[in-house]
Amino acid sequence: MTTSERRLGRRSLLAGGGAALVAASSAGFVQPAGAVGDEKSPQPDPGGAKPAPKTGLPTVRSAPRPIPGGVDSGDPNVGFIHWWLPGPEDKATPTLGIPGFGLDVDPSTITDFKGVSACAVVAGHARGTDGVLYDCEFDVRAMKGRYVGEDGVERYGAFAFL
Amino acid sequence: MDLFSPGAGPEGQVHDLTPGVLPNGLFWTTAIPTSAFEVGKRGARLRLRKLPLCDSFFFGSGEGVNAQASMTIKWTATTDRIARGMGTDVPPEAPGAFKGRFSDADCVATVRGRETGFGFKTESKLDASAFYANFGEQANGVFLT
Repeated sequence: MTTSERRLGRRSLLAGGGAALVAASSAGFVQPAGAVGDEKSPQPDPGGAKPAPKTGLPTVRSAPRPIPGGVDSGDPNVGFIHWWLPGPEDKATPTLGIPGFGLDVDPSTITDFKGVSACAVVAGHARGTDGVLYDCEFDVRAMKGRYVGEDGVERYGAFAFL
Repeated sequence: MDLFSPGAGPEGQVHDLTPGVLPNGLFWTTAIPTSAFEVGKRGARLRLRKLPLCDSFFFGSGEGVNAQASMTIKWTATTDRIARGMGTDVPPEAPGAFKGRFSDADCVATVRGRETGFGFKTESKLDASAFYANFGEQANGVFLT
């Protein structure tokens, strides 16, 4: 596949909308360092483990699990996308043109979660240091509350989808 | 967080800043300080400073460079809270497998990002007027029982 062919963006992969009940597969991206864990939550950890011994290692809480559903991207570099797009079915995101999946659609990207959340697709322009005025589209979510992590322990934390 | 060449549409994507994907499939989602996100009766706010991200330049590129972004995003309710989701009436894999109460909202955002050799800043505020935004409270997974 040429670079031009791969530059299809999310639009061609997700324009069909709807659920793809396919077993999850992991994608090949590596998360930036420091992305997991909240070491300074103001809330007491309702089911937290005992403090780790003084090994010099950072204290990192168990990651949440993704929602089980989502969309199969069909791209081996991306894999299964545990994500839905809340929004009117008769509207589409302004640049990528992804149609909304409806309003009874989970905005959270984490499962086993109870708390507050927010979602938005915002768009406009951004000025680059190269002087170019870029078009900008940004699907953003935030979740905060109780969640059950990969280790099966219930915790309190906050997460952002960007 | 996507930047596109002016007027080029989806095929013109030149920056794609995300937190990456965990081995368990958690998609473009990262932990943030609990103080960064606040929700009230009529509004919500997300403030992030120098969040570590990866710029893969375009969706599915398989490449990437370290990047960071700071942002302030504000939601303002345009409706009262409305019940959403179908809970356990649908399979867990269904998009409606949650329950909550949400307000539709106006949403505005200012964003700055940087990486080696490039930086950007939103030119006036981004907004959700062309599509959709909401905020509220919800439960899914084991919390639906």
